[in-house]
Amino acid sequence: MNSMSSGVPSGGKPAAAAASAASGGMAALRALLRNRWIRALFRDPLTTAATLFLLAVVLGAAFAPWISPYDPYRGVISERLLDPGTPGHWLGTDEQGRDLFTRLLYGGRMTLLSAIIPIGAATAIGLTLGMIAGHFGGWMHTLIMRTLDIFYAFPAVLLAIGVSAALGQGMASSLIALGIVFIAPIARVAETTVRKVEAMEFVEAARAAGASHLTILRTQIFGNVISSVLAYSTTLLGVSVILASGLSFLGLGITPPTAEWGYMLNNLRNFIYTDPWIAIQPGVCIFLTAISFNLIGDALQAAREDGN
Amino acid sequence: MMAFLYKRILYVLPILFGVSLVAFSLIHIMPGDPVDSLLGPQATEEDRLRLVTALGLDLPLYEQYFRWLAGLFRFDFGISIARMQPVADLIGDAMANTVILASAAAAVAIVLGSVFGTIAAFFRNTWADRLFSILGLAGVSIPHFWIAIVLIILFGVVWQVLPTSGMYSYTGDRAFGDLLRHLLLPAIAAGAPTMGTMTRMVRVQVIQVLQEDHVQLLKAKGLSRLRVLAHVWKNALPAILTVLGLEMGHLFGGSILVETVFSWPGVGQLIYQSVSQRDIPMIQSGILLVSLIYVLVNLIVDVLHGLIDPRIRHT
Repeated sequence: MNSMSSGVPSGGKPAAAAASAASGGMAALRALLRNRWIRALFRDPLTTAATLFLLAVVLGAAFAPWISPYDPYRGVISERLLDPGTPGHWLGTDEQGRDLFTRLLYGGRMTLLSAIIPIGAATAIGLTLGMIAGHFGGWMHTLIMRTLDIFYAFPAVLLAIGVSAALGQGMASSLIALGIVFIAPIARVAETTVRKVEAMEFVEAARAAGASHLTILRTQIFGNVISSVLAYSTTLLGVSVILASGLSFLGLGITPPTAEWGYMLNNLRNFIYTDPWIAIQPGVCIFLTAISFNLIGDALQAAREDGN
Repeated sequence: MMAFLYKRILYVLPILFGVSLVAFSLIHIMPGDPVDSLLGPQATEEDRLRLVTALGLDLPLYEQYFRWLAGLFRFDFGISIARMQPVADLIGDAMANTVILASAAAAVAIVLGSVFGTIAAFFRNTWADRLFSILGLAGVSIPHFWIAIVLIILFGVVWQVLPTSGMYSYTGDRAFGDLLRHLLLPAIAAGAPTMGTMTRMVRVQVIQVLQEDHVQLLKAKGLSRLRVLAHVWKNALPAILTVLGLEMGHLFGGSILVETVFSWPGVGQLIYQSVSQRDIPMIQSGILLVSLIYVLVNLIVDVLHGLIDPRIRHT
């Protein structure tokens, strides 16, 4: 009581600052929970489960060395292909006696990275191309969109296989291959949205006021296009996980002995007759991750439509 | 209608040209020398030169491209470097097998997807809707190479009721029944993602049409559910057809992964093997042909679209 009323010059200020920071923090948290995008992630039990599962996969991948005591690359030969439920190896061990849970944690890193990075890159490139094509129109539009049509003409898996085969084995070529696959659809969504926005009065007004192309693109169009492109890009994450792991399943993506779900699944495929419960596990991870991304994509898409 | 047809074909031609250009150049940025891997370490410089000339690899790139393109029009796709057989023969056989698999997968996907999607839409927000919506979501999220393995484990290892590899039994007389038994599991695996897309798409389309005034009127007039369904489907068909055309790419492309798991002797498996053998003519023509079929299927879908819905012809 005494210190609170008299100690103003010495301790009062930091205490008040801390208090206001704390209440500010609470307010920020409350605002975050009221945010419609965040709320969409928890809109129903299934979507909530998907969000929590992805959170667990991301945290597991990030903190794998601290979660598991095992080395993902060194196995014990006498402990090959132990069944799930074995004490110490609750998901069992693989063909080299490596702890499967550990391999799956580390594998999540590679699979997530090789699925998310191409989407990020393709979003940036597709957004730029789509905005240029949609805004400037004319021959620029024709050139960009007709070129992208060519990439549309390849089935996605085939294009990814072709490009990563051409670039050689390795994670980089898998990233580039998937990036190329996703540029065309993202650019199309961006272009369609730009043309819708361009027809609106505020863009007309900006143009009449003498704003430059760059200013219009930056201030009027970008903000409107980015949300629909991002919402669309999230819906592609599920496909990206499947394609990325599919490439390494074929031996085109990540090089051994790096743990990656698709590559692990292909390796363990040889043991379906003796150890089916071991063999299917990397596939379960790919499936659950993809379905979670798709559930979240659906939720975000619905939230965006409600917002408009 | 004819003008519409010409316009669609004119639109497709430059795309086909671009596709051939991409297929050709993809392979020329590939690392490693195909001639070296063909000849092995003991080959002399003369052997090397002779092979390079025979394959036309010493010509300038643009000349190689036009030679290749000109060959395509004569159904001459070159010689497979790894197998020393005409590419056209190899791809022809494999393509037939892939078409069998892809059509079966399409049939599975179309039938299940239409039924699931329609039921979900008609009984919107009931347990049936939730069940089939989740099935649709599972379909689009399932890696086909994994569902293939799960199917092999269930039907081949645990229950041992279906064959899990190849197209015919070794002892069999290549009977149709034998083919069907071999076809079932790969068709389900390759069709699962398209089944998922179809279910989701049909559900949304049917819900949309159900809300339109003329359907409300039909219902108010007391038409039976089945008759209403027929009307709804007629209106939803164009959009569904378009999605199906795009999905053909998935079916063909996805069969690459499914074919490798089931050892199905199709184009997918052929391309996959050729990639590891650096068999340039084989990969080039394989990728080109699959894309060509994809583009043509979409052209046909476009034209059908125009036949069903006259409004399309004038846009």
